[in-house]
Amino acid sequence: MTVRWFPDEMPLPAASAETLGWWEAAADHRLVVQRCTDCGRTRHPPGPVCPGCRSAAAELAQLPGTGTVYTFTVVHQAFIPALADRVPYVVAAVDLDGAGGARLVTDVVDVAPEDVTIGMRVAVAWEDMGPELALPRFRPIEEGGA
Amino acid sequence: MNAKNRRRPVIAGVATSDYPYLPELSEHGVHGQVADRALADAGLGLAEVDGFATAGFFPMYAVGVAEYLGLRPTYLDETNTGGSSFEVLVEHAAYAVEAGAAEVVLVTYGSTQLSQMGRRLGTGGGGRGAGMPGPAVHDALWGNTLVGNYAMAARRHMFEFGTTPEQLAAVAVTMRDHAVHNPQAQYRDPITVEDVVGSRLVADPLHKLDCCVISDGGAACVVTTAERAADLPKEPVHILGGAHASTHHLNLSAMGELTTTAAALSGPAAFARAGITPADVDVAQLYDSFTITVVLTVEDLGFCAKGEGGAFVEDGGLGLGGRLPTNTDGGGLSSCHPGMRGMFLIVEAVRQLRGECGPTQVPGARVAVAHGTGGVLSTGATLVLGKEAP
Amino acid sequence: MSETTATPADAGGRPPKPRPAPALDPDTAAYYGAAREGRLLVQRCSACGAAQLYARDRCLRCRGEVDWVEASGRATVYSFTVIRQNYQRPFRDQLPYVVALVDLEEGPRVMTNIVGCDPDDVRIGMAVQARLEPVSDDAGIALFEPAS
Repeated sequence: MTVRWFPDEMPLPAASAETLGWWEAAADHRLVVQRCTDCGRTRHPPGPVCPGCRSAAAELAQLPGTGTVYTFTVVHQAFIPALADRVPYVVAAVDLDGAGGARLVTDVVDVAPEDVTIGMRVAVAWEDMGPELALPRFRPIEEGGA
Repeated sequence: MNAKNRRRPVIAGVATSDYPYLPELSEHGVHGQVADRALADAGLGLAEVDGFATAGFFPMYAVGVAEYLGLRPTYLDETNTGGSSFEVLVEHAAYAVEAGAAEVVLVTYGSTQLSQMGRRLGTGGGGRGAGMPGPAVHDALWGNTLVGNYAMAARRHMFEFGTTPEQLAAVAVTMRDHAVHNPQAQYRDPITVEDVVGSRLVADPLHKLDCCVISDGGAACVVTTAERAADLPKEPVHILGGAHASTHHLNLSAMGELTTTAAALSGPAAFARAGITPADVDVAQLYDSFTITVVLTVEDLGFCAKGEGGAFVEDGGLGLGGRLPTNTDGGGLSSCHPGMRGMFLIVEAVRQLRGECGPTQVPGARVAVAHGTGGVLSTGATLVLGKEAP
Repeated sequence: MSETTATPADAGGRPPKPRPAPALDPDTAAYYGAAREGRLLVQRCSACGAAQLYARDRCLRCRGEVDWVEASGRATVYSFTVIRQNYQRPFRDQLPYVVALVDLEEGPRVMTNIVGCDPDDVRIGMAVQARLEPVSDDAGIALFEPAS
């Protein structure tokens, strides 16, 4: 089991036929994106048909797991009692590298909220919420070069 | 509509409630307050309202507020587009009055979200309420089941008209006869009247086989103009007329006579708009949540007199060679019922008019009726379809 | 049926589940509160005299102002069903039981359970009498039993 950033009482996702593969990859700590095999367009969240060409043929493409913060907010008000000691925390939309523009809403962890910036480079940090469920959080990374 | 007879939609009255604090009113009471004030502003009374529209956060919300206000509207709208809902509702109401589908449409909005945050619903030990705000709570306290409501209507029909369990069973038998020919039907083995009345009682007097199946499923249709359809591959089916009504929501105690449903309001109006009479109908797709639903509907749509529905449906009355071929796919009683099967009625009616139904085809079908029943006999919507343009 | 007492804890040791209690709001509080105190109320319009239930903000017939009056408790069965299938607790432990619509002497029609007799003995037109029972700390409900 990994580090835990959020409490067990957080609302849990329910997998559907279209999303099950994505969640299974997440349980294996693999960040993937659904890609249409007819036209190559990616989509997230996973869906039954490609919004571009309407094809139902799709695959889950492995991603490097890095990305850039597109926007974020700092949550100060606990929406469930179990989060009372957890606020403030950062919810962000992250542009995923290699995902053709697909963006994930997630949490940025291991950084003070006041240090989060748009454009910040981040990498996935998996949080095992249970034996069959892992959620991708993101933490800041330093990247090479001056 | 030609210009000579054109009906121009207008807004004749407006009002707000007291605000921002309404601790003394329920959410539905707020609807009541603004309804009174807007109608007073317009110089009209509630008795003159024939259309009603609102939007809220629970299914059949508009039907519930209509019940609360004592309205039995023949035009309803609950299009919920979030904050913009009310502009959409007024736009739709304009089309309705312009088309002659309504004379006076009341559009209301009510909310007590501030007070509700402070008022714990279901206070006290064990208080659970019904979740949904407002009147639905009253009939929910008695261990009544959905079937129980239809059962009480069936018992009343037996009491007033001498309808028998065997007559109700005849509906189920005919639906199964049709399902025999439907490869997708959930149940396809033929049954007899004895099988139906011998199946276990669920809520007296309704037996298991008096009740629809429980399925997954969906259906859809595409509505356009005849002009656009001229370029499309299949012969279009014409919408000759339609009408709908609600009489109450989930409180059977608010229904009034249990033996007459909203179909008695929607059916005659739809037929008048379509320029037809019951005698013109070649095939019917009637909501068959329960056998009693079909018996009440054939009476209320005018295929027979009130009280004669039992005789109308027995001895194959709803079968292919009978008085009114009905539910040619096997219906909700045998084919499928995913919870709300109204769209399946429309699809089967269209297929009949296109001549696509094979062993259950009504030869030469030109006019079809699809009638949906919602809630606990609370709402009815009748659609008349035709093979030829009006 | 065991009217308002909860069913005993089941074999799985789950706590007894009480029958549903109504959510109270400005429309419903007076009616269910009075029932908790053993009084059956109906709304009466001060303008046209019509009696109504369930509680609304104003008169259903004329939108006049309504107030509460005490009802006699006498009613007649309009229709009923014997529920023989219900998977929800506590009702599944009380099968078979009667759900009915009864017409109060004062006019309004309400849904209820007929208690105090064999379900097979209930008839349309039967005379019944209200029996008010608490269902939560602040609400009561009106059951009906055959009139003596």
